[in-house]
Amino acid sequence: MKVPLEWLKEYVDIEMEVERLADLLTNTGTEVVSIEYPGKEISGVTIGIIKEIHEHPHAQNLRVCKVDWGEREGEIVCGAPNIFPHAKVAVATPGSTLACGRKIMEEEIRGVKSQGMICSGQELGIGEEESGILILDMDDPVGEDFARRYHLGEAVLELDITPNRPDCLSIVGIAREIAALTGITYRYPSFEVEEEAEPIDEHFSVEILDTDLCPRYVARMIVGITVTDSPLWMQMRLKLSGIRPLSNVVDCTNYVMLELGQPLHAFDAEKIAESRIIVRRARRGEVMVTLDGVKRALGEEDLLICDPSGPIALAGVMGGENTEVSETTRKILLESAYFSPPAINRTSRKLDITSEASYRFSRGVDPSGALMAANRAVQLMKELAGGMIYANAIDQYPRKIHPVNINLRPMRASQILGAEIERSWIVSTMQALGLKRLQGESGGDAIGFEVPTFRPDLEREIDLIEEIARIYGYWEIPATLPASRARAGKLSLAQRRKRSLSQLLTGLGLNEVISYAFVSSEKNRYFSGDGKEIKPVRLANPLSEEMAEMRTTLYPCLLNVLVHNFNRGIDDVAIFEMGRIFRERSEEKLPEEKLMLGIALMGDWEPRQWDVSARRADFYTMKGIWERMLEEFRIKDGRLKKTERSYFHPQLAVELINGGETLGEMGALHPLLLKRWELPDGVVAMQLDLDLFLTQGVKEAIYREIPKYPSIHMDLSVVVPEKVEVETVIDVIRSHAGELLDSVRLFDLYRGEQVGEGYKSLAFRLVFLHPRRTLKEEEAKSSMQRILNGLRERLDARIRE
Amino acid sequence: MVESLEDRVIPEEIREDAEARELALQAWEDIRRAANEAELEAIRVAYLGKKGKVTEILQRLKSLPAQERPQAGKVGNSLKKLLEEWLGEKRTSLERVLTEKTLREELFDISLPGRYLPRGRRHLISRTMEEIEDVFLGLGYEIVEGPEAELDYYNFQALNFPEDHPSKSMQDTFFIHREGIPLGEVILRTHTSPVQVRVMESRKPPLFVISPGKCYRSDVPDATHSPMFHQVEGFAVDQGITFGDLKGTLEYFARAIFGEERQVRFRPHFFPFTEPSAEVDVSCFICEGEGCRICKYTGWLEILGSGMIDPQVFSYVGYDPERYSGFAFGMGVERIAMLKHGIPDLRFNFENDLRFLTQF
Ligand SMILES: [Zn+2]
Repeated sequence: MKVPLEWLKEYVDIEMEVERLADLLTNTGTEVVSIEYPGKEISGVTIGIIKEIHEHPHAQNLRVCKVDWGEREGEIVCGAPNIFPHAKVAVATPGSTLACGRKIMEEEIRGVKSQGMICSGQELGIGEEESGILILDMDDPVGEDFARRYHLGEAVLELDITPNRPDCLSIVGIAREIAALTGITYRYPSFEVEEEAEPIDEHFSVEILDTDLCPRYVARMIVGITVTDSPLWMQMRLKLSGIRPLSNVVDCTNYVMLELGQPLHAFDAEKIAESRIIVRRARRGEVMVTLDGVKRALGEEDLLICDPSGPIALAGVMGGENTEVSETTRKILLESAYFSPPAINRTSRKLDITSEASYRFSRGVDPSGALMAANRAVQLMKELAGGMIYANAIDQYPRKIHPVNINLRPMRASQILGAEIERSWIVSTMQALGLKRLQGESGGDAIGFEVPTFRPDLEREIDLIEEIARIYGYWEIPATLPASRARAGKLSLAQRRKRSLSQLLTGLGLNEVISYAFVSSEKNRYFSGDGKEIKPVRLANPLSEEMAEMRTTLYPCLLNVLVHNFNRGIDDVAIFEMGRIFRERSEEKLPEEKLMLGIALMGDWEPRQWDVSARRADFYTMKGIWERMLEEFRIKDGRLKKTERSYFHPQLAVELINGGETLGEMGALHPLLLKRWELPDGVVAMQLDLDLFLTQGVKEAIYREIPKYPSIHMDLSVVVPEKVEVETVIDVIRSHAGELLDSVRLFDLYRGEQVGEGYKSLAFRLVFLHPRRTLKEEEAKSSMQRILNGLRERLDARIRE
Repeated sequence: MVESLEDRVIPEEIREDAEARELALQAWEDIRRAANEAELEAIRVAYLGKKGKVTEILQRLKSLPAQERPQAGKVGNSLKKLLEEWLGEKRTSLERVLTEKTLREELFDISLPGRYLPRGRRHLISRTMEEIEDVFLGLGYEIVEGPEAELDYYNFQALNFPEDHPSKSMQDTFFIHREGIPLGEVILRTHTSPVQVRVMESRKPPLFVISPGKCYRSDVPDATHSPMFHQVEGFAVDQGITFGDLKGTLEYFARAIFGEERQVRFRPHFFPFTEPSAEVDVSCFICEGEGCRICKYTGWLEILGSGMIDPQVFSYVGYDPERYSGFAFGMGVERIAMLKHGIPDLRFNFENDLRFLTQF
């Protein structure tokens, strides 16, 4: 909300600097977003009067005006169509500055010397682009500084009012708030309604059919008005407050809304059938045309203002086209009502209309203020548009809204806030906020208060405690830490391991990514190839088809990242993501969420260097990562199991197993899938269930004795048929070695002429060790002999000497 | 090897025996001149070999009269020992010179790049989140996570959001579509605060908990909006927790994250689930409070929302508000990360461009 300081000062005497005021408001919950000074550049613009108008000798569309601006007269060339003799205008005299900072000098325009410029609203920073100049009020004094008279260059505060404070959505409301903060007094506008016509109820009636949605409806009527522009001072205040002036009648309603916070609506009373208003809910399927010309479909939850022939306004939201005030309107019915906030909120959201009125009604206006606002507005109309006001107001208030009473315990306030707050200070502060102290004892140390109806946010003791804190000053409350109890701030095992796993992976050269958890249905389907039925979680209101479902695996997200980088010339990518996947569960409302680790490797794992050639990331790189992960958590029985996935290479696809439990899977992505994603061949990926993985393995490692005795190394080279897997060979070695074999490691794999087609040569390093004494070479040799025999018998292996 | 014999100590028995002295001087000169290992070996043989000059002296002993033998033996042995010592020294010296020469002959280019070693980065958001977690771990908090797909009850209702609150609309919140369940009952959580309710529902105070995680709002991605983002929610519930405790805790946090010298400001605000509520600002660390584009010329940066837990929330979880009080706070991880690192566009966080990721 924008508040011109000059207007605010009409209701409260502000002595302090505007910056201090802004700080005070911000620190007590009414955030001042900005302080602006519209028109602060303007200088030397003076109020003048056009004495004579002559044709320009050389230009058809220009005229030469003789203008008197007090200190002297001068001739000014002007192109505006709306000038007329005796018009009061804003004159930019030679040496003056306009809102945009432009300096005005005497200059020759098409051969005629112009001694200044007659300004448009835009040039003065108070209007949109228009061809005409600004016409001032007839009683504006010639020779007075324009900016000073119209308060240009004075501060306008932009406030951010929180939704719980509808009482602050007006100038008087802000004045009241400042008064409570500073202890000074504020005042309402002073006026008297001059009633001249007959009593309104002899000519008009209002009937409320739904008193839940419309507890109060006030109407006043005025006849014989002339609809025209409102005076410039009013237009200026509206403009500075962010509202476009329309006509004197409508401007009056907006002006009073800004002033008092009560939205008002002016109907052309002669267009209301039978001079009768009925407030009711819309019927199912009912339609009406609002004054923006849009046909609105309504439902039973919408509240309507109707006449006997049908709707004439969408209550609290927007007027109807059929009763709109026009230039020919003579008689006005003015509405000032209190509508149920949730109802107005619902309708305005449903129809997507936010007006200044609906904004205030949705948050809750003061039900007690309806009559005063109607009086204020109808009197203003009379002053600006002429006419006679009907005596009395119609005031239907079938469901009276009573003030709330609250008991406040000062002790409780001190306990919650952690500051000692004086009882007497509390009482005077509450009174400054407009609360009435109730007499009679409320029991114990409690004090009873009656809350004014303009503060619907104050319902409970805690609400009053908040008010105390706010006015006392958050900055005054001493900062402490909770009285200590023995607490250990500690990560759980899974949380700790998640961190160390991230460190391991980054240490191995992988970069962590975080993706949106939404993917397209199609992309989810690419990765549903493990045979099990997966029900994805669908969004009812996705941003796009690309984001229609929650991911059922991390793969689409990882591949999106590969694609993004590959398309930007980054070919070598090693990434991981730790994030949740989602699957619908038939037995529960909430979907299943699992924390997964996803890894994807593309391109070179190690780049080519000056003396080492590049190494591609492949299945075995990924297997290496898996092995490092097992090692990290001291998991002994981790192994791979061959599997089939539609998205993996038919041979390079495995499940990751520990102790009979499948923790995840990895594989080389199928070349056809990669083609569809326009990615290069050879991408490998892994997905692992972290909820399972992070709690596996040895939690606390127990010391094992370091071998005291020397070990004996022996190398073994065997030729076996291609189809024999290394693991099989190792199994045979282990099963024939006896207890002395400590470890066996493959260090060479060779295929070629020397071993013959269909065969491969494998070289292993075997380490023999005796735990309790020095091993004798013969013992190792005899173990080796058993191994060799075993390999020959079981695998038909040839031993290379 | 010291080149001058004057600096050497020659045992007395050699100095006093003319023959031995002469032999020592001669050997010294020979050894000094030796240019390589082979020459040195020849010298060794000439003096200490089977037919070497010193060996000869020792062999002569047998033919000497008995009373002269001890003295002559002493001289001979002393001479042998002396020459062995000199030879050893020379050998070491020759080896050093030779090695030094070889090392200097080989060509190196120390400007060649260091060998490739793997280097990956944590995501900026994860790092920032951990940084925040660590501050609260230090204050004795524990970490609890909750579901990202959440019931309306936990996300809104039990947090005292009114039934018609604007953020409950489909324009703001992602609704999950599911046969047989009313639209809006299951949503993607819009903040991590539901964890507050879940924890309180299942446990009793004292509770000192933070809950980091992903949240979702149906915003089209742009420089300042994202349909997914991260929050850290925290809360403390115990007997006697005060608004002053909230201030102290969050001041401690703000200084730990943004620097010891930061000013911290608490502004009254409104949230449905806290009362009184406060927004927390730190003095702008970019302009030091002078006013700049980042702080919108206010000198302050808003970093989190907080407040005393509303008694209404306690009543939803069955706590007695007369007995317990507590505070809660929530902050956007992206905002904190972006402020600290000067990142201009929220989308960078989720594009996962390696040129972005590897900067942090
Ligand atoms: Zn700044």
